[in-house]
Amino acid sequence: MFKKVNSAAYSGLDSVGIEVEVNTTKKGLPGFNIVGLTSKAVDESEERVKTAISNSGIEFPRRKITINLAPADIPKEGSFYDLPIAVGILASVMNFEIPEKSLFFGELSLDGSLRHTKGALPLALFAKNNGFGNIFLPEDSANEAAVMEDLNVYPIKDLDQITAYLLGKKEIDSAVYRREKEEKESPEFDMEEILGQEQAKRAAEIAAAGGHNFFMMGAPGSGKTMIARAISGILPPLTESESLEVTEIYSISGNTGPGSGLIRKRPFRAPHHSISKVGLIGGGSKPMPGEVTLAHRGVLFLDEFNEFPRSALESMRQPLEDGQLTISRSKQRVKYPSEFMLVASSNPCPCGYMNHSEKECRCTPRQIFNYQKKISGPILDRIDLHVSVSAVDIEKLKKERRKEKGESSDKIRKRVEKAREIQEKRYMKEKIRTNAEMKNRHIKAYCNLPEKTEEILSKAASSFNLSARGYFKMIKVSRTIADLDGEDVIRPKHVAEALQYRAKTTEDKAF
Amino acid sequence: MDTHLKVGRVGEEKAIEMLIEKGYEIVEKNKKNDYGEIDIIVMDGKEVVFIEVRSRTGEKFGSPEETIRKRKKDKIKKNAQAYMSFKNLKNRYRVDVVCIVFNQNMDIKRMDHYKNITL
Repeated sequence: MFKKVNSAAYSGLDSVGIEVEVNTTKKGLPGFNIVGLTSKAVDESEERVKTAISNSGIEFPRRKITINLAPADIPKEGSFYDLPIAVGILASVMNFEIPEKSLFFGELSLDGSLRHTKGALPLALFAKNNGFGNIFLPEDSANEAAVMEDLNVYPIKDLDQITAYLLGKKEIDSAVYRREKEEKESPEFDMEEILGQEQAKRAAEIAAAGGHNFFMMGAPGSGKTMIARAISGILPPLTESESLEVTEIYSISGNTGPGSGLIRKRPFRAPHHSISKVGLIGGGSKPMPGEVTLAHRGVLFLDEFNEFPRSALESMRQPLEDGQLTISRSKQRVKYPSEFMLVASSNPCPCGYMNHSEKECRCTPRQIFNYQKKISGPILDRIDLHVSVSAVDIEKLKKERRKEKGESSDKIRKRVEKAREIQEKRYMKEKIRTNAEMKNRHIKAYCNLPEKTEEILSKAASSFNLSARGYFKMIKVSRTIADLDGEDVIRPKHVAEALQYRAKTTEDKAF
Repeated sequence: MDTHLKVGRVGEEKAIEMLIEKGYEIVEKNKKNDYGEIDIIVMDGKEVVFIEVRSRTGEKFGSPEETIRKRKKDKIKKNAQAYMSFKNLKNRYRVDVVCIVFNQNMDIKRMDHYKNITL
């Protein structure tokens, strides 16, 4: 008997409907065949489905079973076809109807229970956009999908339960979204724990407020890493739509835990510098998101910036510029978002003590030149804020420890949130959200420069030899500083502060 | 004779009984040629039917159906073709499988006849 079960597959962040057609017949030798451009994980579904059905106390039908995953020309990946296949087989031998407008999705365990399966949220989105009213999926993945309103999400524990439901013997309560399951995790460091380094902390605040990329250079042990890790604590929480975007990415890459809900915390990704190009920007024969996409709407922290492979860093140019990237492979093309804030840190030279107040640098000029040239100009060009972090004076540290703590992350975050609110209002009619994303025409429209400010800017441009891009960068950073001050007009003091964070060329420092 | 060979022999006998009862005309038994052996050849009206018999005692170690894989199917098909051309027959032909499961006392627990397995 022929049965059809609906499911969906994702390619990138988009989903396509897949029809699982199951035919069982008494003619011919009993057997099990899956067709439709299947991958290994789908082929192995045969063993899982067979064992799960017999372990659910149902004798596996001695019939010739043919399964077609249509459309047949799309490559099928993943283990989530288990449930639609099993339901199709059971429907055709036990002769029950499959409810209309329903999607089935989930990986089976050998004992007949359903396992947490990645990709529940994109599936729910697909269901909503394509008029499927019901989705049946593993209990552990249900909370993720239950975020969608006007959708009946049925959490399934095991095959017994769903068979009883489809036979009309038992009801299943549709899942209600449980907010308490949302991921809440406080950042590792609070800004108040970082002693001294006022300039770097201020720069971090500006970076967070305007979404600017941020680069710190300094001696080992000066607190660069601590500051970077504390940044996630001063960023405003994700908005509802941002939260959906981030959770979707984490869902398809299998980074959401069983029973979890929406991700509310801004992502903070800190990959080790041994990362490959594909690891950083994503890829593979079935393109998966890389770190730049996992850091979408959050922070990508690259510690020891010049230890990263050059090819990996250079491949970051396009995602940095466009906020999205397209990964093309022979079989498919996938678009992933990558709107992240880059926070990078490095030592000034191989020994780490160049320009140090006490210690002497042991590096030759050649070594320093080679070390610093690892980061290319185009990458540095895309970073708005450059700060050198000097080593902390131990004596001062001792004194400060006795004194009260510095400003807490909560306090700083309040200011950042205010600045972001101003930006949101300002860019309501535009596609951008933050100052860092401004293009030249936005600068013209939204950066109110009085004569005095203009004067300072042009003076700085000539004396510091600023390039055209450097000039506009300066205005962008000034805009953010003015927003932090709550001022609509950019004053000379704002520009003066912005000038401190400009990129210093290699020649400035080394020679 | 070893037990498993005996089971096979008894299975073939039982299959023949069943086939006769169904009205097939037995043509050959254990016909050997270069490719191997065909258990039973019968006529179903004008159609030549090559029958492979699979017998097992109990299903604890899997069903007899599972023991027929692609390789065995191909072998039976080749065998059938060779027989047809050797005898210069122009009839239609097909391959069937009879699966028999015995219990400990060699009583038949179930016997299934699958028609045209190369379908």
